[in-house]
Amino acid sequence: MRRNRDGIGFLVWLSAALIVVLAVIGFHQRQFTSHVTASVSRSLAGELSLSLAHSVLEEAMHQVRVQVNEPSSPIYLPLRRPVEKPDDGAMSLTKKFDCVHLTESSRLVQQGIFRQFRFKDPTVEVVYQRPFDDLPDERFGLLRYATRVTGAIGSGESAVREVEAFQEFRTVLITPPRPFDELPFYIGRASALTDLAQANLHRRTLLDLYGRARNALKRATDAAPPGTAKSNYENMMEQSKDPASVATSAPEIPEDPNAHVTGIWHSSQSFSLDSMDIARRLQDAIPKAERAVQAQSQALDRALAASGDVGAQERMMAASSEALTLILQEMLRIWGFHLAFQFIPRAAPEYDAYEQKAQLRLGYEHWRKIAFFVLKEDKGGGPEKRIQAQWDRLIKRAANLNVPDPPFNGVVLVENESETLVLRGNLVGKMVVVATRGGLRLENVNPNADNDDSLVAVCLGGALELAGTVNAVVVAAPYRLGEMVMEPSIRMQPETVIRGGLFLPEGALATEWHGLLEYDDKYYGGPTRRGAGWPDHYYVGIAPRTVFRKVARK
Amino acid sequence: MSRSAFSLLEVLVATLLVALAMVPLIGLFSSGAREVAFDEAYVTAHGIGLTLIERSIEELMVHGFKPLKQEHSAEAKAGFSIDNFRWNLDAHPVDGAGWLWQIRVNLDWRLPTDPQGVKHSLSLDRLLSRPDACFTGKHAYRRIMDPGRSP
Repeated sequence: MRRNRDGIGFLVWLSAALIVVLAVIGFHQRQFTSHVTASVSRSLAGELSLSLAHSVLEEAMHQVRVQVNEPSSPIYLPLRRPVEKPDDGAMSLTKKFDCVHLTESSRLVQQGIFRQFRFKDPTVEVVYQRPFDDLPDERFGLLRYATRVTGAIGSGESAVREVEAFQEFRTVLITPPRPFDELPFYIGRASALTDLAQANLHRRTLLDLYGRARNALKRATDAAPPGTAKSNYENMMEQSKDPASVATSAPEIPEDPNAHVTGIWHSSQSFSLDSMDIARRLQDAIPKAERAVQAQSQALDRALAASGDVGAQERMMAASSEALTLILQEMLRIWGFHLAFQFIPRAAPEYDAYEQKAQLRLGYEHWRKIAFFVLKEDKGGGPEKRIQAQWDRLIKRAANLNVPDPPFNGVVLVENESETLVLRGNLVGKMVVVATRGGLRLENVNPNADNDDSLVAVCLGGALELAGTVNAVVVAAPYRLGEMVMEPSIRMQPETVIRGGLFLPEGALATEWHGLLEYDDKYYGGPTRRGAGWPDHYYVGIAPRTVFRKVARK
Repeated sequence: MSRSAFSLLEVLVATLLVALAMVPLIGLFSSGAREVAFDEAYVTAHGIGLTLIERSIEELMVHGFKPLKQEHSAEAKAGFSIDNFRWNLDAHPVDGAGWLWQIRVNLDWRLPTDPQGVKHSLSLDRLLSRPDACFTGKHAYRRIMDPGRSP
């Protein structure tokens, strides 16, 4: 009996102990679950706040991106104003210009999981702007976007996230760099044009021939008996300029081979590039001129021998006219050469400035600094990695569902070591394309370009080939990499027409100059006296990705 | 005086062992455990959703902005598994020009303890700005002049 009572006591003890243990465990688990739930809820609310903050900043970035190059936007001009020390270009784009109005983010917080979340209107500001070296109007800078999001899940604790995102941007000329934008033509070494000394030698030969031809005409005039023939001779003498006057109109060409050559042209003014190698053109003309003067000399002998022979006099007049006209045409070539080109010899005060600016602003380093995009040749990378394929993809990158072939604007540096980049057909937009050692071929580029499109095509150290109508400013400059210097070369098809400008800083030599150069002043970026030119010649490129993002948990 | 078959210490140890053995069973059948399982699934769904969004952002940025549609069917595996989540992802432009994009992920799942017909769901949205917006557009030269600056 005693043993049974002991058994009952044991069961009571056991039950009591179990209840106590279970109660303790249950309480602990409840506490633990509650703590974990609160913690998870807060953590999730934080993650969702962060996600919403990213969305808010992305929409702000979107609005800035579509406005920076839109002339009607309130931030268009402020981002193009000159920034000079001590001004660091810092400004708020939201407080001052009210450029961001979020609609999609507002819609997000009205529905679904974000209903319990709120965001603060984002701020967008330019943190700083710094000029590229000596160019106060071309610069780079940093944009800062910031917002704050608060939210909770269910009845959980609310989380706060303050997010900042920083983006780089560049404001650059979409035309040739200053001061070359105001020139139709620039050659860094006059010797690249022609053999200057030889040209002057040929000029003197032609002047001598002109003098001889005019002398012969004077002798025929003096010998002619009074009457119609004499009167006609006198008219011819009056109309033909004397040799001294011709020499003054077509003076000697400066012979400094290192002189810079520029020009001041009217828009649409053109110059036959065949005439650029003037020494060769004059040399070609001399045998013809000599034959014409020889023929005139023979006609003079016959006219003098038979002064009453009307036919002999008329033949003399015709021979004189032909010889003088032919030589004057060549002298006119020299006159036109002087009109088109302005020589800046070493002694000129502006020489050093041109020398320095050509090296600084038309060379590789400048283009690398201002480029929005860099394409790199990858020889082993397959067809997709070829330079041409990369280029084709790049200019179509702005294509979207509504506009399959939209304009593309920007500065592109193409690091092609061996593959030639070919630009042909219509390139819609404003572009600066810089090819390197692999060379550049321009073939009927923008033949129907309107005033809105522009192209600056630069070839550094490679072969530049031109064919057909090329609506572009064409630049051929050396490629410098440390001590290594690679000179560019130029090959032109005979029918080539360049509508824009031509810049050859130094060393660029054409196998033969052909075609026509026609100046288009749409590439002129405006007056420089106030630091920056016309705003619509500047383009703002914003980096595709943020430099960094900062998240503060509150 | 007869002795009990077990000492008090033995009783306590045995009780503790029994209680410990019962903890999982208590958890399984309690409503708190269902909450835990739900929370766990809810957190996982967020993790899946946010990961899918980040992945599609990379896809759009690297391979170009083209509409994306992806789906994943649940496989109804026993116990807790990522395969039990069904989701679909849709990335599309929200403005006319296609410069602002929205990525939406819809997820749904069932817990092993859910009665037939009960389903949990979650939607996550994210906006993404297309970088190309600032590299396009066509504007005539000299249309806009800085006031006070002569052309």
